[in-house]
Amino acid sequence: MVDAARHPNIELMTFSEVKKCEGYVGNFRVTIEHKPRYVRETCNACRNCLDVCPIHVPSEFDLGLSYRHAIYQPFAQAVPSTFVVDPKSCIHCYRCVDVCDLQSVDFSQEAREEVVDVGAVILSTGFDVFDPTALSEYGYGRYDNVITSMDLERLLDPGGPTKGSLIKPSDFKRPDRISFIQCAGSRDKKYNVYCSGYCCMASLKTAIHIKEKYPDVEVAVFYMDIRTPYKGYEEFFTRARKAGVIFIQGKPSEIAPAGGEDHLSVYAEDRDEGRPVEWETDLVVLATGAVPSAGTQELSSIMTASLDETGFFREYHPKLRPVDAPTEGVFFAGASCGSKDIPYSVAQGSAAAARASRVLMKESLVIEPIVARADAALCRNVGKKCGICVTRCPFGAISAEPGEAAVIHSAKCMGCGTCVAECPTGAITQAHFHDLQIYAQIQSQLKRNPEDKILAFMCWWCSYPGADNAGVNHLQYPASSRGIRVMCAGRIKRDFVLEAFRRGAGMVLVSGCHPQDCHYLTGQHYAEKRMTAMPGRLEKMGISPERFRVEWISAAEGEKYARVITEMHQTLETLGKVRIREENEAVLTELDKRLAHVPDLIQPHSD
Amino acid sequence: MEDLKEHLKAFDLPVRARACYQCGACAGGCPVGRYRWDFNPRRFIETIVRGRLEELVGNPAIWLCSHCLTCLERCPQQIEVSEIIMHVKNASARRGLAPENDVKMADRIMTHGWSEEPIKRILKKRSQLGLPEPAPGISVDELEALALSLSWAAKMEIFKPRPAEPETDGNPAE
Repeated sequence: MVDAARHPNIELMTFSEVKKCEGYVGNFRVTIEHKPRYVRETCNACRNCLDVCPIHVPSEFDLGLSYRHAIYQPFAQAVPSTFVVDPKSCIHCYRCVDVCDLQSVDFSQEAREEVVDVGAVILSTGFDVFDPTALSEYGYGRYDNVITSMDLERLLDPGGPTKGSLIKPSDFKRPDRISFIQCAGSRDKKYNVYCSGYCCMASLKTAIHIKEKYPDVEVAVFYMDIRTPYKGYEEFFTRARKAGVIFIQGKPSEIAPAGGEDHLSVYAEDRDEGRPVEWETDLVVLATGAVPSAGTQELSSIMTASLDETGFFREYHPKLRPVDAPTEGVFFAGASCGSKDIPYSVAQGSAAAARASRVLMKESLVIEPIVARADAALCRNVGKKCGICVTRCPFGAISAEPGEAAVIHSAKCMGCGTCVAECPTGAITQAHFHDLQIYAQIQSQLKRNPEDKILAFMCWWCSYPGADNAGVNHLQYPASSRGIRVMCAGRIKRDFVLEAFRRGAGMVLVSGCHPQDCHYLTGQHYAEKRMTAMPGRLEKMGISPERFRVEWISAAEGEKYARVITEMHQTLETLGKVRIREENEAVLTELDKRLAHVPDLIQPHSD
Repeated sequence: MEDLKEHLKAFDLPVRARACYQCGACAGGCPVGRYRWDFNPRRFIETIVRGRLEELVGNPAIWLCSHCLTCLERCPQQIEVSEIIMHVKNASARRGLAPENDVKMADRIMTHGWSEEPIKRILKKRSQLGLPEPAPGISVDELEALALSLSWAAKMEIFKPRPAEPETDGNPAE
């Protein structure tokens, strides 16, 4: 951090908060609030004020293991090295003002806002440590000698509250036996379902550190699985075993006081021996995992960056675009989008910087022309509250102020077309995938012998390549399918399906990416929602529901595509041409009425 | 084993049991397992997941479960271990493998309304201490009505010991 602060091209804004972020890639306008320190930049950290400040409150940095004054430096290497006044604990005695030689203490400071124009934004908000108080069976907060790995980290720090000597919090004496409990609150349905990834290595590191410093201390690690997958990690695990650390496979069920003094018993099953054990120990260390840092929720609404089910930021694609936010020009570094250890965070930080520089280096950016446009004259939001499109867009590209027509920002639009399909008044159109273009495709595909055909709507990224895959792999399937490719399953309107049946289609298939694989994050979700009710509606009209099918087919599932088409072809043959024709004729009047807005775009078949 | 398979399936238990980490939190906290190492909930779940149901039904140790639900409380995957064991117990009883004492106790409840009959020595001690006569057990008639409404009586029938069915003969635990 000191290096970053000294760098001529880096401006650090500490003790500041992002309040608002407007604009789009290359042209973000960010409002930042600088909070008052009540100490000017001139402070040279001479510590005179510390001698006079009468206030003592638990230190946040030392996790309450030591005290700090109301005027303080958060930690020794803090940047900038100026002090700060904590307005919550300060009693305004102003002794620090009197004693400050440089006249740096200034209680007249107020929060001020600054607006900066930036080209790209990197979210690196880190993580918070899980609070194990909820794990009542482990008694954190109830037993003095149950601590977290972060507490232990402070105890072992040479600059920490104990100057690096290991003690038990109950009597400040050295513990003879230490037990680590892995996965405290991690990989647990009740708390965090995910593996935080770093706790195994953190505990191994601390265990080795203790063994090297105090060889006679017994160190036991209770674990479900030790996860050491990256370079040099497994070797480190071996080193820990050789150092004499005891590894017991079994998640402890309970910690209870054992007899007199302040001993604790860890109740667990020793899986290697296949029997329950009662492990007496002096100090229990809970290896707590990562949770999203406080304020992530607020930041997500400021940045229109969605969160995943664990509460961390959601990447554009978990495998292929792990550094990018769905919004163009916004990137992630470190644990903001999921728990990471140091090497992984460093790698992602460098990647995010490189991704951001790609944006900054260009004079202008070229975007895909396939974007949605809203027609202000048709927008329903003018008359009454609508804003459906705003909720459907995962990229925050649409804004609809009350009483005003929705506006789509082309630079932010990724072109999935979900808003186009969801707009109740048809005010939104998509360039290159205009409704009329798609209707024309439907009509032309069903120009000849429509009842023999399976009309397949496919998304650009998964299902169409899936069908391609079937061809590349020379998989045999009936030649009755006709494909229409759209950007995303979210673009497929109900009217498209009805139009297909109006034009006499034998079968209709709607296909897209698998859930959670959608290249536009939520398009598949809305397609599924829209299409679930479809079979029932068709049945009510008089069309056999088996003539309509929804399947999620990935780009690698050529075999599935071939199978689905084969099955659909079989259904088609079972139903028979006559019945299909009859059904279609029976619903024609109703469909004609419903689809009155769809013109005939193709000349009728002449030969 | 089809009956047990179906009972478990009806509650979606085998699928949920598959999420088991085999972490041993259930076995570590089990108050029964602390004294009887042959009662190990983790191993029972493992046996279920591996599909060796007959092994489990023939295992007399399952009858030790006191259904205190500590396992469920401690399980990071929230697997209903004792629920599964309950179904296994039922299947075991249906094969006439219920322990004699349990069957006797069930019988006593149905005939006297008491799970344990007060013995003479206790009654004598009570009168010596000037304590009143022990309250009568639940009315047997009431109990029978309840049993009927819950189709419990039919369950009680199958509870009675009878010769083991051939499929339990190959029990490796014996």
